[in-house]
Amino acid sequence: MTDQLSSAYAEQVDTLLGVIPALDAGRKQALDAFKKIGIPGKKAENWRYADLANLRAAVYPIATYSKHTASALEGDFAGKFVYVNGGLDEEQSFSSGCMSDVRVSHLSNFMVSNKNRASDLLSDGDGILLLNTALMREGFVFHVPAGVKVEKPILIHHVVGDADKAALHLRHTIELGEGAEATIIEYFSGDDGAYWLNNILQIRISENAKLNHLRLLMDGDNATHTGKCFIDLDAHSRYSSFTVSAGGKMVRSESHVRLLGEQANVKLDCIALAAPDQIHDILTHVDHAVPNSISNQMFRAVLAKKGKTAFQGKVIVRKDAQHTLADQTCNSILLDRTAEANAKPELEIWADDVKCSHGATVGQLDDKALFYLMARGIAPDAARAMLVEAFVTQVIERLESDTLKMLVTAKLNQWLDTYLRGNR
Amino acid sequence: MLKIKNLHATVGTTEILKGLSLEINAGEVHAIMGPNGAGKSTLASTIMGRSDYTVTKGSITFEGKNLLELDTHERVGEGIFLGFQYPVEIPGVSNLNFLRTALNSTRRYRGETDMSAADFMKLVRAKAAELKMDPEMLKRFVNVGFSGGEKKRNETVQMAVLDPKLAVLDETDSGLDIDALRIVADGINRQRRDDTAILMITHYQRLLDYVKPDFVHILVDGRIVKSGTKELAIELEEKGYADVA
Repeated sequence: MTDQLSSAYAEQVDTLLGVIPALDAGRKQALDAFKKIGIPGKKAENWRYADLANLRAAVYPIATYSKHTASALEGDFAGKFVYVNGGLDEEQSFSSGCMSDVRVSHLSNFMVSNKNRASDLLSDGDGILLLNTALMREGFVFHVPAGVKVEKPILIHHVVGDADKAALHLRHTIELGEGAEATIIEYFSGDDGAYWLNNILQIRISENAKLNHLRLLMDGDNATHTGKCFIDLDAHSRYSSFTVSAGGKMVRSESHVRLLGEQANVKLDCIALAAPDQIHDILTHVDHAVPNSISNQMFRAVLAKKGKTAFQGKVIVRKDAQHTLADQTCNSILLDRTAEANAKPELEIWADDVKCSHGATVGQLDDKALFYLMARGIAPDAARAMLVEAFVTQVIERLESDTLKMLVTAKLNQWLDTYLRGNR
Repeated sequence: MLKIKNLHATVGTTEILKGLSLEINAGEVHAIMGPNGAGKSTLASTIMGRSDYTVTKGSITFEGKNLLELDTHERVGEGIFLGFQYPVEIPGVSNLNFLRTALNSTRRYRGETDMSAADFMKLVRAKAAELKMDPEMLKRFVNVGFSGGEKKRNETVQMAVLDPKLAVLDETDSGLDIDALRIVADGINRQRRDDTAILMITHYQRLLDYVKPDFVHILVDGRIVKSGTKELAIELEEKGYADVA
């Protein structure tokens, strides 16, 4: 099967050669590597919870650019970039004065004038990353220069439509110069086609810079979303990420963080809302390479009937990383006995003077609390929704920005209305 | 208002209520006393329709309606309130949010519209003030970090806001010091009207000094074995259950 896929994808690579010349060599190498390992199967490490049978069984042609009006996300943004099927839709996008110092570019343009940066693009990894390297067509390239602080969030909205059984391979980079600050919201939405969105984002945060990152994964009901974020943090820098995974049929979201400078600080929070028959496979990998860095992760999942989630959180503390503080909590609530929540925390600690902890719980809503609510006149569905809301809100409260809190709370309420309050 | 006839109820396979009958009319305050295991909490839970308890025989009607056909939240809509012996802590849900949702749920059940946010705040603040509750506590999560007395006072504030026709108070006085007891008793007394009724389930006659009952019943081994007035409670305290029942 890998052979069939490989030759079909090789044809796709051929059509892409010359489109972004700086990437040609990388594409060919990645495809050769893909031929050897293919799409990850259940036996591959860290892939036992995901279901990528559809990606192994068929070739996904590249989705064509299309015209599609996205349902908007309300808010006061410094800039908004709407990508429809991977292509920037200038009409729906804007960039205000607040971002005038930010250098915004796109992969295709950027690689024309910055050929040498092609080697910065990650090319080594599993079949998903290799195919992305081989077939990447577009993506955003943001550079926030040193000292520039963008107050309002920048919204990047990926919309997918009319791409049934087709794929988008997108590669983005964000760089923050020393002392820079920004908030990025990545919002994914799509129609009910069975598309495959293969999204890779590389982030570099320089000394003293801060990036807040909100990711709303709300793909269409039949979509496969494979997302990887690679984040490198220099000394005294901060990365705060909040992911809401509530869409798609099969979502695999990875965050790979390297704390490369002292006093670097990363917070990775995630709420997964698994609707019937959805799989949300969330993986984090935090590498404490130097002393005195901090990582803090909170993952909470709510699972409806036949929903499935997995949290795979690996933290590695290297030999020299003394005085590391690393915390991980994973809590899941099953709303139905057919739901399945998995927690796989992993701590690999090589230093001997560190403080690392992890905890995981899987359970149901508290019966006593439910009865208490019903004994005050609140109907069963509303009572369950109230308790779920309380459970998830405790993670949402960790967001520093009220704007972001409101956005996430709105999405949570939409999910509760549909799956708990029976308002679909 | 409330008519319980020959009620038999089990939890699991154990029968706890073994033919309990009781009648409560509007304007009346009743107290039920009994030793541990007699079925006091089972009675309260059964009136509220808690799912772990099964009614095997008998009936409960409330204002002519068959209560056993209604779900818990519907019974609340009909006008019944349960003051819990052990109020539950609900992290993440604020007292305000909880109360407002509860009040509007019962209003909707009765076909009324939601209370406006402004009216609600006025109502809650007034009731909290009457019961000497610091309004700051309303913003906190339900019962989280509350002392035993504060939790019981929270129950009475909820009762005041929901203004039930029948208040069933399950060992509301347990774990209270004199000051807390006075405040809780005050809350109960404020609920006494010609059109309301109160059923206090209690261990000790101490509460009955502050909330004077019209009727006292003794519950032993799943049935009411003796009924009387407040004097019965005093006799019980002096002589114990064995002698009196």
